[in-house]
Amino acid sequence: MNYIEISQFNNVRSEYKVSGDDLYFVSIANNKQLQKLNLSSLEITPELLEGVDAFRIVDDLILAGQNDCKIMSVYEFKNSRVIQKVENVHVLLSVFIDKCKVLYQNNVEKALYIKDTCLSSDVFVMPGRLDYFSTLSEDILISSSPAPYRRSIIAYNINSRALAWEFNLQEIGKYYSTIDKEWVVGYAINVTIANDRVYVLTYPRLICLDIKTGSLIWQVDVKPDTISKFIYLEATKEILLFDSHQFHFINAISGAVVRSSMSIYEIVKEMGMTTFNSTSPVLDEKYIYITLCYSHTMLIFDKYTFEMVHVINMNTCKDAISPSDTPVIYGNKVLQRSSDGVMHVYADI
Amino acid sequence: MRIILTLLFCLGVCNYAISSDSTIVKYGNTLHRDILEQINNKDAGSGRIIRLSYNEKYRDEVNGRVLGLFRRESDAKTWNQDNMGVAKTYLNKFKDNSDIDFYVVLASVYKYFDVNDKPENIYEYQALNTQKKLRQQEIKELKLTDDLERGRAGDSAGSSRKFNAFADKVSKKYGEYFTTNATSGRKVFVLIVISSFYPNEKDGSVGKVLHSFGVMHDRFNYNGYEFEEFSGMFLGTRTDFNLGVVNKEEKLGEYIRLMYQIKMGEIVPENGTYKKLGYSIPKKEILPGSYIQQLKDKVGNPHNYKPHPQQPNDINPNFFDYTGAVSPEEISKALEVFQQVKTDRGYILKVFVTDYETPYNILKIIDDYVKSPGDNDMIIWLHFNKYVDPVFDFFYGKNVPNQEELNWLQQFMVQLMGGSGIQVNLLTMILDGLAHLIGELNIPARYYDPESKDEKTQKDNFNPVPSGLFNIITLKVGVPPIRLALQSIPGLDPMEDPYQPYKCEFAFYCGIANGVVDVLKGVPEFSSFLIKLLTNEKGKVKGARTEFLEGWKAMKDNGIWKSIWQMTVKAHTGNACKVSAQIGHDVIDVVSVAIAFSKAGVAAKIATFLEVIDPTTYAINFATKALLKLPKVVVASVDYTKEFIFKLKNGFIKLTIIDGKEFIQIANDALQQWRIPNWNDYPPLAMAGPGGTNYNAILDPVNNTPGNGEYISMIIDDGAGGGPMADANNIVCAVTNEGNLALLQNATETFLKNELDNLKERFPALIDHLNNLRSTLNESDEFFQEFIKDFKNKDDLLRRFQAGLTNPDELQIDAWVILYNAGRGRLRSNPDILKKLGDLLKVNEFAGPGQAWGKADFEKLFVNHAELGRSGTIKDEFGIAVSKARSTLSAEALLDVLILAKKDPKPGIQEVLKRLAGNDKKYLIGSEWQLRYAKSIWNDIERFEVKLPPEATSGYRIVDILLKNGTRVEVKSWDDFLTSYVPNFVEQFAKDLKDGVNLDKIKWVFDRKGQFALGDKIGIGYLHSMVISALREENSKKLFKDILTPEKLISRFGTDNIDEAIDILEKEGEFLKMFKLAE
Repeated sequence: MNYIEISQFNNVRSEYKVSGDDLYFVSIANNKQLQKLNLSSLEITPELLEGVDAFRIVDDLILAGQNDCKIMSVYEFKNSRVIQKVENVHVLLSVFIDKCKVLYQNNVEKALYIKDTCLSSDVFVMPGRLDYFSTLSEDILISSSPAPYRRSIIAYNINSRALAWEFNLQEIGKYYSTIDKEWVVGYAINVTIANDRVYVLTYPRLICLDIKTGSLIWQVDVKPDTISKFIYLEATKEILLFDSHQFHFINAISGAVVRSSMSIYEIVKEMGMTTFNSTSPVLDEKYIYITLCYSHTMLIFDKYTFEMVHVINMNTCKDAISPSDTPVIYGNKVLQRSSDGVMHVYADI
Repeated sequence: MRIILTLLFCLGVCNYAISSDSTIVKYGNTLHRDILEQINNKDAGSGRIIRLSYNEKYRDEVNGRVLGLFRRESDAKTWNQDNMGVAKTYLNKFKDNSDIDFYVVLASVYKYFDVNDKPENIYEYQALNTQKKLRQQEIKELKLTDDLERGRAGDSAGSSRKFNAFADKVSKKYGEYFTTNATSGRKVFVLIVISSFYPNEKDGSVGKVLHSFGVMHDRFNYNGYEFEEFSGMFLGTRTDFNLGVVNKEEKLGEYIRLMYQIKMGEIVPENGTYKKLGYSIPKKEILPGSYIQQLKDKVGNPHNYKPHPQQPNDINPNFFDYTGAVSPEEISKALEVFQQVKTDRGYILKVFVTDYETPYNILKIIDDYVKSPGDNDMIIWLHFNKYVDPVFDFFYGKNVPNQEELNWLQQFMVQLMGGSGIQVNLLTMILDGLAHLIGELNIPARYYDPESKDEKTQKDNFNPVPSGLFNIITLKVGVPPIRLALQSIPGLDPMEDPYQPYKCEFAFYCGIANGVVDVLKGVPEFSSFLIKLLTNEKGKVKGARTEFLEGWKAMKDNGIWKSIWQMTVKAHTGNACKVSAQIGHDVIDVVSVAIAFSKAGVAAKIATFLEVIDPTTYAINFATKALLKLPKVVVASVDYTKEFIFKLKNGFIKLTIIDGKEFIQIANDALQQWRIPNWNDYPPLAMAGPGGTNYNAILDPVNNTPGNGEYISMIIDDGAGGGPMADANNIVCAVTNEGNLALLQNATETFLKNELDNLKERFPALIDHLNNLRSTLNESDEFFQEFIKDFKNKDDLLRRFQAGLTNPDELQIDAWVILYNAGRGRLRSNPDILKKLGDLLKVNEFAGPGQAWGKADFEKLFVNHAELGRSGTIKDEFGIAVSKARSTLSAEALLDVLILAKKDPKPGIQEVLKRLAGNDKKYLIGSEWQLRYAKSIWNDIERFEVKLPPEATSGYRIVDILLKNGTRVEVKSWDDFLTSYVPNFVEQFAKDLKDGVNLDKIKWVFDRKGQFALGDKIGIGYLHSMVISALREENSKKLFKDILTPEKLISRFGTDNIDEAIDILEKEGEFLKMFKLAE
């Protein structure tokens, strides 16, 4: 394995997304164009859309917020065109039901509405709010209590227009703050919804809730007083948790810890680096990739043996690397964005 | 570890244990005052309360001291109210212990009421019942107030919990606030607990016991203790109270300290008028009739409050008197002087005079202004606090040079203001004087010549402040060798009032400074040479005055002084001060020649130039023949390797080397005639030497003024190698057998030699080692003098030093040398400090892995540390003048952190230490605070100074401290949340949020000083409100939005609307927990 930097692309805003062979991103310059980088040829296709504030990819559609996210444009991949524009729907606070219907949060009334563009209707559903992870599973919409401290996970039944369930995190997520020297009530650090389950990371534990009932299916203790990150792995129905010290593969169905690394923290420390402030890990078939932001270094581990197989020194980055800029893996390429908007492309040659 | 000395003593019987009752709380009530008055009246002079007088010695160092605790259980048992000496002895025992800040005397007073006293006739009991009835109402009214918080001391069920609740509250609320170090100062506070026992009505047995407690302290002007308003009161048993107070003394002490600070105006209440400035003038130092006393008599009258038509930011010089105490004539005169200073020097002088009747908003406006004064401002602010005690401080704009020296001078103003004979225009004269001490222009005669008159009006215009300041700084003894030299000049007018020796010596320095200005103008090292001479450049390894003195000695040794002396006697006329100034100028004229040959343009220090007036040095320098380029020097047909000519103001000196010996000739201005100095001017002394030999001794009054007990101990040059000699006249003199100029042995050297010989007999290896060190370091006699001063009669320490030469676990003499070179006089004889420093010297990795700090690094560290310990301001890395750390690490605490860093090293600490021991002072404030805060969380720290990106050379960000749990800690030591900080702050804060780091893993920790020190709630409230205000600025919002994408905003706040996000920040108090105060 021998990764070297082969290319750099400027003006890449954070929150880039991969779909198929392409990486979609908003250009920091050029009137916030939505652009596409082909990960195979490394060619950029500019001007998919202009003035994009935020976007999401749903199946074969790109939902793009424009005009301060007051307009949501629905862009179709296969025809490279906008098929409709929906006004007063925030792309990040909405759930796309089908090509006609969108469930969204009315910011004025702080209520849930369904807008049907085919019927030109806009129907009040119930009081409520959406969150960045909100997902609709049949009639159940998953959301949370208000930010920044999401102290409970909330489920709305949009059919019966009633609160389906609420799971309070205050006790189960309670932790002791070493610097403030006091107990702090729990709240959600990260939420992921997959496979009809809601995975909620709090400081002391990762919990799994049934999306229909809100009942607790399992919980796994997390190393206390660290910074943890997790991702859901659809292919293996596993969760990869990195607790700033070790990796843990957890069976997403049962909550059993399948395997854990033993000495990542120690090895990294010996190298003079710290594991804190890392990006989320990403995986391919064989390896785990994770960037240590304080060290500007990407580490590649064997995902079964946790052996460190390669180190990419990102010393060409002229700005910090944000932990929220997760690396992108594509074939023999690894991409990592730095905070100055440069996407660095490394290839194993 | 600090120590509070608490003397716990009981008066009366202590063993009653009565069941508890319901509780009552009241604050600021007259009831307590009544109790106190009764006690004071009844027991006045009986000594029930220990009273110690306030020690003025510590007046300037009271800020920031912390309590310590020493509790001696046995005292409580053995206490005898007839034997108050025990307490006094005990207090005296700790009098000089630098670990103790002030004493807390816990005094218990019992009162018994006779069973025949009907409760309704007992005032306290009656009041108690009344209070009981009112309790519900009071609690309602006090709900959510601080008073109630404090009042919970008596609000919990069960009396043993009452005091615990109180102390716990104090601990929780103020605990961290008081856990840091400070400098010194000591006061006595009395925590008094008055236990009133009441009889049961039925059988007369002891029933209810009413405890009331409060704190008293003595003030600057002690007229009796004042019962503070924060006292509390509750019913309960004596035992419960005693149990409750055990181990709570320290927290109580902290509470007392807070109250004291509020009382003394160190913490400015939001709507109050207290103001604590940098310096206070003790009442006993204020002379009757002095300027300050005159103002004191007039201030404090609310009817005299006088608004000023101009604002403090007036671009012109101004005198802002808000008290009405300064006469219009004086203000008018001041404005004339100020205008003249503006014309001469360009500085804008401003005086503010305020008192406790000055409206708070005015004080606030001034306070805001002086923190960021105009660029050319020189400001003095004099304030009379609630007790009419004068306090003052100085503030300078960024264009005012030499601020460090000016800051150092400020401490001496206390004496000048209170005790000088200057009775009018003192504030004006001080500013006027300071304005002329700095800069590169000639010092006008009106600052050193008491006869000086205004050219136009012919009115006296002498300003006595600069010379007065010099007198105070040098402890009224000046610099003896120079003063004596001046006094020995034949024909000089007597140095009598108003031409006292100190004025003449100061005039001499003014002459030196003016000579420097004439010759060396534009050379940075000589900018404001006078102020450097005055301050002796405190904190430097060697001060300018010390160096000047060394050069002076060298010059005298070479005989040149004698020539100058002879010449100037006849060349100059005028009073003693005036002539002294002219002589100073002559000295520099001579020096200037040397400069031309040695390092002209490079400008080494004056001492170097004086030293090079040495014929052998000249020979080398003359070889360049650069002399010819100097227009001031007239030379004709001379062999530059053997003949040297110097121009004085009114004449010339020629040195000629013949057969390796120098001959001096002098000539007048026209070079008409060279003549040999008349050695007959020196009074000869016939003496009888050993073996019947008679000697002619030439008394050199310059070098050898006799002192008590001094005698001639050695013939230095008798043509036969010298020998011991006794002198019945007790005169130290030079001895020669042929009337030639001889080398001189002075009294100091003799003393030193004797002492060293003495020491060497007992500690030969140590003294040999010191001799080597001295030689290696090229140190002067002062090196040994100071060593002897520190350790004379301390054989135990000398023994340890000597052992340390071979045993690394013993005291290391190198530690003393470091502290000596760093000018840390008070520290260097402290064995604990020496031991710690010596241990660190042996092994450390402060320069990097495997790389140790050497002596020079520690030396610089202690020089910088001393700088931080002084009052005043220093510019931080943003270029903002911020006050120095409020609770700077003490030297010992600093060493403790270094020991931590040695035992449990953290990556990146080297960077912090490098800055703390570096030359760039802008990093001192920040790195000291970083280290100070780190001390309290050392075990939790992963590393320091995480640079992002690691390889960047510019535009990078540094995380100050990274904790093991991933928390990134930013430490800030600001006085205010200034607008100039805002852009950087907003950018970093937004990046923190953008990076997706968990909220509780981000901490911004501010040093609790300046605005952040205004009480616990107010300080943190200020911080939080400033954070919100900073974010609400339009530019900030734009920056915030640029950095935080809609995705990030929604993830953090649930909305991407910036205003809503800030609303959430403001509303969600917990979010602001990431901003905390500490010290």
